[in-house]
Amino acid sequence: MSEGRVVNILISSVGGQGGLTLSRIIAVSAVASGYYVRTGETLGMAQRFGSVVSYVRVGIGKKVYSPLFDLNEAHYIVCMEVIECARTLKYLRDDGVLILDDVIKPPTSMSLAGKNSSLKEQVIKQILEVVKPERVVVVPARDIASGLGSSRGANMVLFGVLNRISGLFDNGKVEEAISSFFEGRARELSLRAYREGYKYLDKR
Amino acid sequence: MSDLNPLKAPPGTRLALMGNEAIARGVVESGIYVVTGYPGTPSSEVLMTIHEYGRDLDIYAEWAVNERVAFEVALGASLGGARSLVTMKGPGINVASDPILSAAYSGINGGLTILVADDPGPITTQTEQDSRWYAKLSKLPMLSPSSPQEAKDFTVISQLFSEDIMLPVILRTTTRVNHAVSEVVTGEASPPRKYREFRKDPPRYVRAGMAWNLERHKWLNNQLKIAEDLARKYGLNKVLGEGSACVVVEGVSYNYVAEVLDRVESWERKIKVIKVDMLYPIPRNFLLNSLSGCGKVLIVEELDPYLEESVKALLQEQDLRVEVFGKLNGYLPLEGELNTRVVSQAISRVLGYDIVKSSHSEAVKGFDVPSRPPPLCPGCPHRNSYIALLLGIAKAGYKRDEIPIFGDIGCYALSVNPPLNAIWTEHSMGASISMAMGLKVGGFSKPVVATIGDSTFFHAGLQPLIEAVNKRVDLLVLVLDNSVVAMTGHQSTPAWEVTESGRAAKPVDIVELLKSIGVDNLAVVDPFKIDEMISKVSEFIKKPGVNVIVAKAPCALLKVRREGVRSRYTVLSDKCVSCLACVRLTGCPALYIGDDNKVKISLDDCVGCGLCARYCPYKAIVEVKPHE
Repeated sequence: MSEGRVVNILISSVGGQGGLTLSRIIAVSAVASGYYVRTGETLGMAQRFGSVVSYVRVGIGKKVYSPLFDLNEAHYIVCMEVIECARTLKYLRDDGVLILDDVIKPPTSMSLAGKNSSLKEQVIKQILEVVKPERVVVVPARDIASGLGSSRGANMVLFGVLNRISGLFDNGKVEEAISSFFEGRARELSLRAYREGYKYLDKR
Repeated sequence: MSDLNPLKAPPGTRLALMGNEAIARGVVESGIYVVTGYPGTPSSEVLMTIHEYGRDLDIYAEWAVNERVAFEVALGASLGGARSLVTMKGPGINVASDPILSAAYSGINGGLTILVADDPGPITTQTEQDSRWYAKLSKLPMLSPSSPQEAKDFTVISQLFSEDIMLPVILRTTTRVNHAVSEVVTGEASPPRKYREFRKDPPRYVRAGMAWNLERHKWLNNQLKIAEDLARKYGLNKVLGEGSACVVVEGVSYNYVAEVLDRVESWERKIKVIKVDMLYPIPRNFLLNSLSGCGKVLIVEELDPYLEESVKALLQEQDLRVEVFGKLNGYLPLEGELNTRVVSQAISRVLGYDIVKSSHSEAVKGFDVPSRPPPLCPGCPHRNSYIALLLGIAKAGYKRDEIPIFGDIGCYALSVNPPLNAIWTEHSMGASISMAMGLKVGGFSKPVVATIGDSTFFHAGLQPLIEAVNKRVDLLVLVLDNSVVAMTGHQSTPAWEVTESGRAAKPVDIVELLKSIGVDNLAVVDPFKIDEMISKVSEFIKKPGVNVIVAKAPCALLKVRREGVRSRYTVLSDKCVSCLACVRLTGCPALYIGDDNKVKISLDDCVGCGLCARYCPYKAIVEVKPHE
């Protein structure tokens, strides 16, 4: 068995929220840090509004092969939406950490069935019954990003929180990755969103 | 930052690249000049990467009208000595197979790589087609990379291999290679290899002479004899570890095997991994050499037992007593993609090694939540078109369930989901029109409808329409024209004036095409003028002949990206009576039911199409201009 460790991160989102972009920027940050990385994604056929699951595997001093990992193997789950979060909970290790933006995007199936969005509180409550509350970090990432100028930065706020908790990457490498990925105003917003996320737990 | 540009980064740069971006980098490193294909997940990003990062590079990079045309363009370039690549998803090679099989007889001059991206799972494809059989069928060499790095490296090798053996080489990938992002180290770029000469040589290039064809078949079989030497020359096919417990593996499956073996103490001294990179012709000598000394062999591959059958045949022929385990005796599944768990179980069952568990818990955590089938986007013109079609059918006096609606391949197939529940079939590119015709000629007496997108119509819908017009079959055809290949990421169609590469193109007009084919009645409608479209449907569905309605409006996602959102809609809570008419008619994902049971509209998602407002019986949905 080779030395080193592999960190498994799962990102669950709704198509259009920026989950795939987050997975890509983590991969770019990993390579910029000299680590190994392999990602996989499972997405519906629609460009938007389907369930999107991204698997990101960062190998520190160890090569990563499989683009996927199994149930109970995620060290971190980053949830951009509560229903998708509940769907992917099964991937979290017992000692894993769940980072959750408490946003609900009710799927059409729910509206067609006449169910209202109060389901959100119930789902969060159920998540906290399954995962020990001390292993769950709820971050109003979308609201923070909106405050900075665009809700599209929610993914970078979450990345800030993830990196603050995991200590995976130097901030310099992350900012390099973000800067290489975005241009113009989106770059500035993304950097600010990341920094705001990184500080979030200290400020709280 | 040009040092992070996947196509321009200097050699030796370590980049995070998606498999398809790595293949695009391979284009630059192997001096491929002509890149063409038809969009199809998971293959589309190869051309898209060249469009995004390499517009100023001297490469012909253009989408073609369909896969067979793309292949023929690449073949023509290759016959003149240019290096070429053609890209397609698995079902695309079915479309291109006719010219591919003939190309094996004529051979090539400039390197020609056929990228075919299969989709075990399936994640985004109509079947779990295993395109490895095309190598056997066409007798063309096939390489199978396991990672983004190999995807790039094998692209370069495929070109050299192709020129050495004078045959097209198939590069066969699967979604988890095409769409995986991983570290890739770049190599040296090579100048594009363009036209050199094209010499007249009828026995080679004309398939009308049967004696020539027989000779060329012999030539082809003879060429294949050097394939294994070439594989050795280019460092393909590898053995890792040693022992009498053996695993034969190829492509993406190698990753799961590597992952599992990493959990076996000192596996290299107990287990031999035979990684097959060239899938056709089967590397006989390599396999026989590496299988000698094996007591048990587990074959790990996705989908069909392609390697398993080859290995078994080889062992039988050589009278070698080796126990073979795989799909044929139930150790691995014949459907779906593999993963580390499935491979781990097979390895421990067959080889008897304990695999260290990767997690503490076996329990499945969680609870049920509502499903999220993908819907049509907010503001999608196809939603209006299908609602107009369904209401038009009703207006013409038919029941919704007595008029079959044939669907085709594209985003609009999502109309199968509630609440539209519109299409009855979605089969293969262009099949909506011909299958609808078939139902009629088979004796169905009521009207039938075919619905097809503009790009699918260009790809394979023209010929079915010619057939229907020529045979005078009564048929209503809706061409859903958003002037883009939307589902795969907004690629160009033949109706564009300038392609993604910046090439000035001559737009082909669908309406003029329809006229020249001779359809009986033709109307162009704006699906956002929904009442007009409803009337047109109810009028045309009762008229004899092939009647075509072109519903023309741009893809909502693209429109918003280009123009922004001009207005949005909101629900006046005091007027909303929670009747849910808006939700039940449109199924728009921007609508949801708030905690107070009144309908809400997600500001992030509404693009201001106004369809929900149009069908609110209580006028509770109103437009909000941005400045209000």
